[in-house]
Amino acid sequence: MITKEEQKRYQRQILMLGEAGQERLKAARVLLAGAGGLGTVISVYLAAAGVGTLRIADCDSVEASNLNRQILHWGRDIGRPKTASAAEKLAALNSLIRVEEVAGRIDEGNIDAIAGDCDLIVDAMDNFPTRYLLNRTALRKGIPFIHGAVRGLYGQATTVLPGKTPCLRCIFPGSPPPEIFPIVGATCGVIGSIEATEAVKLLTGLGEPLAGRLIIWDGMAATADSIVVERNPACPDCGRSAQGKET
Amino acid sequence: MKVVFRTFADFREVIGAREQELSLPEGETVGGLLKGLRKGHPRPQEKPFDASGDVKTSIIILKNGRNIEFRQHPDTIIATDDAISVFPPVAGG
Ligand SMILES: [Zn+2]
Repeated sequence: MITKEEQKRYQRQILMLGEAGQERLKAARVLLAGAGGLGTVISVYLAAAGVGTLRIADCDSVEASNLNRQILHWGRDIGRPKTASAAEKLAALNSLIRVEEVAGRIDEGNIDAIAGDCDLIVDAMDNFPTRYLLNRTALRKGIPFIHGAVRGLYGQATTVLPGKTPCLRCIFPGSPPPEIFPIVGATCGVIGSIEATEAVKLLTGLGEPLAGRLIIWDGMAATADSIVVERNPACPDCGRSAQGKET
Repeated sequence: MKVVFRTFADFREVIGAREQELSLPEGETVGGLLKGLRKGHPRPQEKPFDASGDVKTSIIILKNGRNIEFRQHPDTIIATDDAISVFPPVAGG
């Protein structure tokens, strides 16, 4: 049930989601993997929208070089764990939701405990090996998975619906070479907002998900395109060979 | 044969077009197509090209929506009406 206080707070989105949609957001538990450039943007919008439980995982502490883009981490937070820094601000933004901190590295050993009971997994990572782990977990548990990534003024996003769409590994079979990537904070705003939009849609059933399509945002030219992507029958994570292992 | 060639991000800057129809010889490979691009570009030492002027092997190439894994399969054959999409890897968060 939506309380009087919630009716007031979420009035402008209840206009389109209805109280039933708002209740779905309230009942949802979302894993946000990463509290960096993308994670801080996504978490602000999901917290503000009233997602009932936001579980935020990150293993890093705030550094000065994060502050050009990681909007929940401020000058005074340098040296603090990113999860604590983010959770404090999100709690101040919306005390009606629950923010859970997972301060540590996501790995094979803990991913089931971290993600297993979530309705949605949102990718805000900065590396592909961890993204593949999230992707595999999403496939195994049948949890929708929203991917996003950024570099410079470019970004990309897609929504993986297990069993229905290509998985992340179908589209990107190999990790790009690691690098200290250039980035302007506003690019995280664009892609993080696309991911947050997808999350609200998936949780409430609104609209058409970004499923089977990869959006490519080009901030240099100020254009957005989407490419239809196909499943790879030989995909190590969702293809035929993976079926026996993973289900 | 005619194929659709779509470029994104820094490839689009280099090529100067979002989508074009190319006329290629039968049996052309993706690697061959990209070598041709390098010839047509006056300053290959930038963006998607490496120091020797070759297209970086980390590039993402989708043929009809499927990643061809260019690093391992530059000799992937292109067929009539294929749609080839080319973009750089993006991995940050
Ligand atoms: Zn797959």
